Amino acid sequence: MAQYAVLIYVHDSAHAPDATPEDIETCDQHSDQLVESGAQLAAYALTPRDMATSIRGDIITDGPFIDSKEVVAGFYVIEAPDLDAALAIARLNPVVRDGGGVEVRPVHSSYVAPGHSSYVAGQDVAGQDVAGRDVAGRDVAGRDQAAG
Amino acid sequence: MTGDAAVKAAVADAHRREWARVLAATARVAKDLDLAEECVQEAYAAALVSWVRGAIPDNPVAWLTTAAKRRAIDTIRHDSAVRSRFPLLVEPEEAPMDELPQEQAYDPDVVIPDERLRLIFTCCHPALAQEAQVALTLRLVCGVATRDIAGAFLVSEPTMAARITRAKQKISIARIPYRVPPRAELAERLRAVLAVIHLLFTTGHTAPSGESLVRGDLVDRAMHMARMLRELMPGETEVQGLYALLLVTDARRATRVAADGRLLRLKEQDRSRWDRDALAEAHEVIVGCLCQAPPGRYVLQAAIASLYAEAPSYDQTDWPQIVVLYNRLLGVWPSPVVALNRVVPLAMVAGPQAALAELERLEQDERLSGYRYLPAIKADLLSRLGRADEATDAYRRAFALAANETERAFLAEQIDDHAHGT
Repeated sequence: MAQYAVLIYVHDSAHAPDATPEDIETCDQHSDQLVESGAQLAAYALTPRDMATSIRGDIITDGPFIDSKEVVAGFYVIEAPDLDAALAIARLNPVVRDGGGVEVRPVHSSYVAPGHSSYVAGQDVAGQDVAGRDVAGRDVAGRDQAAG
Repeated sequence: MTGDAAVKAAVADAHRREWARVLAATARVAKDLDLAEECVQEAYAAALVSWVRGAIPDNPVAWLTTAAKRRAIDTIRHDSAVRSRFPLLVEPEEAPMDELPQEQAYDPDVVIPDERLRLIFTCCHPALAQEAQVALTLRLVCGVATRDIAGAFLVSEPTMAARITRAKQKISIARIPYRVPPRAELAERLRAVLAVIHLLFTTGHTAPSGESLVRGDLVDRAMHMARMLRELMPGETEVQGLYALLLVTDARRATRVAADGRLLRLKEQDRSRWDRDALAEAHEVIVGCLCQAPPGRYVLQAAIASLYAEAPSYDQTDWPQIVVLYNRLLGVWPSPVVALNRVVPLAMVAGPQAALAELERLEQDERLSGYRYLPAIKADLLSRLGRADEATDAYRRAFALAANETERAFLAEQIDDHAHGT
């Protein structure tokens, strides 16, 4: 088995600071499916592009690093036997049929600081510690979001 | 002892025809394309010595495969600590490591035919850039030396070597599986394979730049691949269609350029010198495909090419039927290039004025903006309408976009003719 990161590209993240549960319902459902299938090892939903700050050389700018129609709205790590299997999982992401897309990247190596898992019991796959904090450093309420 | 020359010829022949078969089988044992390639190369080198000392085996492929697999197994045994640092070629179905039959090494059943398909589908995986797919296919499926691939695509040898290495790395690190895709994905994946073969052919058929119009070696490789795929996937009509398309197109190879190297247009070519056997074979294949509904892109392209070729003369071409086929082709493959090619028979059916109107509509499509045949076709239509000045301008635009010397010479001549009112 190998690990692949799936980067979600959409016009903007649905996970705004004031997002309602309805706003992120599709994302949650897909994430739940991935967790149930046992394929998902970790997941991070990112806040919208307005929250982004970029650094290039000495210059700090507001907004995403690359000025494009889409931003990375989140990413998750899955485990799959080969690239075709990983692509089959990644293409199930609802953003793929909704104007966005995903990028699949083989993981080289990873590190997650111990004791930073905010997963509710039963969602933590294979005993991995996964940080799950929002921008303010507060623990996100016990769930992982796999779609923008 | 067997004669040196006979052995050299036998090894060269096995290299040209059977490289893919030997490499595909070895890759399953080596679980690494680089190692497999190395072992296959060594096996061919060993054959040169061994066959002179003994005899040319009845089944050279089995001999070469056995020799290459043995080398791979030896290397893995001696080198397992080093090799295990790298990800291995992933083979999804659990395949037993073939135990090599010691005495019946020439058993033809050692090699099952669809091993080559695994190799082809891996080289043409959509996770690889098309230029990488083409390079890998030439290197691994056709056994063409990196130096020659670099020459065909006009890049330096180190550039091509780096391209091939990166592609192999991606296969290994991203774990692109070494297998024939399952039925559900087959149509989509097959399209990529056919596109690579078609690209090889068209690159050879009209070399994008350089002095000679045709690069025979690339055309031959593409024909070889199309034939191989047809043998391996006889039930796929698009494979048949591509094969027929290449046959028809290549049947005119000898007549596309005059003895002095000048480009000859279809209407100027000597039809008596076209390869009638190839045209007849293609015709039979196309008819067989058209009976199975509904025809895809390559079958329709082949049918169009075949209609052009079957006419006793250019003027007797069945233009209305060709337009009908182009309409169907646009239905399954709405490419701007197809729409542009349709303008040519349209001019014969509806007249140059109507065709020009259609071409001017297509000029709005920015995907055709750098396409040299658009101004060339436009120039021809303008010329037929007696608008010589505008035709000259259009020929000049085509000339600026063309990089092939034979095509440039043809266009220069047209510019000259029209600028001086002949």
